[in-house]
Amino acid sequence: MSDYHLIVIGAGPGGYIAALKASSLGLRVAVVENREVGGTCLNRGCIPTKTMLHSSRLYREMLGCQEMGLSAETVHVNIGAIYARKQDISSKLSSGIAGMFQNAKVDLLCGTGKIFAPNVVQVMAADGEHTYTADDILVATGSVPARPPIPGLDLPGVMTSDELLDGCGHLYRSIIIIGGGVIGVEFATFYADLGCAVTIVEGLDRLLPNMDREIGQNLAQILKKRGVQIYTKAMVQSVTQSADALSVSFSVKDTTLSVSGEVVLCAIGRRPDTEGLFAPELAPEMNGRSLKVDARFQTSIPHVYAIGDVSSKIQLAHVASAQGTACVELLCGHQPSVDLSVVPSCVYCRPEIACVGMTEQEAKDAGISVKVGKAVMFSNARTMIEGSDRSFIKVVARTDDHRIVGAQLMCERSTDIISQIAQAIANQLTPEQLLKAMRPHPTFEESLGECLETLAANL
Amino acid sequence: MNYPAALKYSKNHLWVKMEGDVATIGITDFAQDALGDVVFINFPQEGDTVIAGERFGDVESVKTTSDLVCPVSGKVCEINESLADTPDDLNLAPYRHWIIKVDGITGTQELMDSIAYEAFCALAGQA
Repeated sequence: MSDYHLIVIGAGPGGYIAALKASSLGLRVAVVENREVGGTCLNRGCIPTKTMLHSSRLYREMLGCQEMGLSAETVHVNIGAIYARKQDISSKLSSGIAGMFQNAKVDLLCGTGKIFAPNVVQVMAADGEHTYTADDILVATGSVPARPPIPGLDLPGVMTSDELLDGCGHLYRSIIIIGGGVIGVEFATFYADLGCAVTIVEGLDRLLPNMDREIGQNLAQILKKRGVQIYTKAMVQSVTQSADALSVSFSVKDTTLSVSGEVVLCAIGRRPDTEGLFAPELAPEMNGRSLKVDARFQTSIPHVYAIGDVSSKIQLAHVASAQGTACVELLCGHQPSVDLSVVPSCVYCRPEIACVGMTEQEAKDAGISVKVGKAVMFSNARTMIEGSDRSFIKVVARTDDHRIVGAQLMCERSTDIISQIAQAIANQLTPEQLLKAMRPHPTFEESLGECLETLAANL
Repeated sequence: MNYPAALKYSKNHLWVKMEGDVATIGITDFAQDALGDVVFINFPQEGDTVIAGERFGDVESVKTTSDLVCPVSGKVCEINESLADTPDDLNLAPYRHWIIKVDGITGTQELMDSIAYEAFCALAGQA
């Protein structure tokens, strides 16, 4: 008999959710983790950045609080305290997961896991090597920040999100962010809020190029008003060190430009973390740098499964969790309880951005006849009360059966509001059905009602 | 209200300046005045096909959102990207700040000269 039914390698949002699910379904489970429990999400990603963004938002709001009838004349940024708070929150959440492991009788094996054979995991721990056997192995090792081979990206002061989140004890005067994706724009929001000079250099034609075009354009307009410099269609050529600054050179059309800053953040994406994971004689099939998996999340090696950033096209914490749950459910002979095709994605800039399903353009490109409802929120009372920047909600539905197929939101609380659209898509609901329940007043979400009414009238 | 004589005008309150095979298109003084403070413009993309009489984007003010109806058919060859950052330029100088340029023109809406458009606006203003 094996030591465990299931060994999960990696205790991030994919691995720990899968382990707890497996335990609740009656399996004997262990999780191998070589760093803090909670993975990138809890320790170097979602949670620390949102904690820091909460502080920066409050600071920015306090500076502008006269409009709200308040005065705060001595507001200072204590960057060390901001970092300490983020560390504290990460630690609390991390120990919460460790507690859940204990309650669920999931063994936490501290060390680096290596798959030696389809049923054998070796753990390099502080007290030496241990070998465990398992009926099945689930790889949930996540991803690490990517550093492309651009000259100068290895200079001191050029960081990825990992190093930036370690902190340095003082607030940077200026930062150049390479990459205008989710990570780039969230850090841009944070540093711009705190009064740091921010420049974003993006290779494609707009910020958040994977999202609806209006979102990127709206965000650029808002960030520029806050003083952020944005270069798009800009291909970075090199980073060089001068006396007291780093210079990033990039080409835009036929010209070469250069911007200088105290530090550089390289935020061009993340790559799957498979380093040292497999014994040399085990060579799983890869899909580029990702582990290749089938519809049941099995790799090319029998009894070895993979979920989350290490194998998924979409690198999001909640996708990893949902895949982990589905993988374990399938292993135990159940049908997956979550529809993995409906993926909300959120950006915690201001206003927040949240999208799910298809944009109008994507639907048209797929040959689906759709109509769009849109509400711009200038006259939404809560938006006005909170003094939010330009906000809008768009919902896309099929003209044939009226089913909702997507939504793009850029407004306060959109990261919460998006779930009801995701529900609608997963359950094949129409705008008419979403309009059945009255909406509370006054809310941001009232604008979704307005948008759905326009959409229903257009269909 | 300003109606430059060198331009042609559509009943959707867009102006067109034809130079060779390229049409430069913007919104008229009448349109910007009716809209109020312009806060956002939804542009088409370079390379998009536009059709005379059909929507190619919209202009949003704090009061309303108004569709941009294309006065010509052709392909979008340039977008005035600077307007994305300062859309209120349309209020300040609607004839200096064009929105798109279209080439490969294959047709146009029925367009008015400045005198006819001024009369058209006078009627629209009374309505």
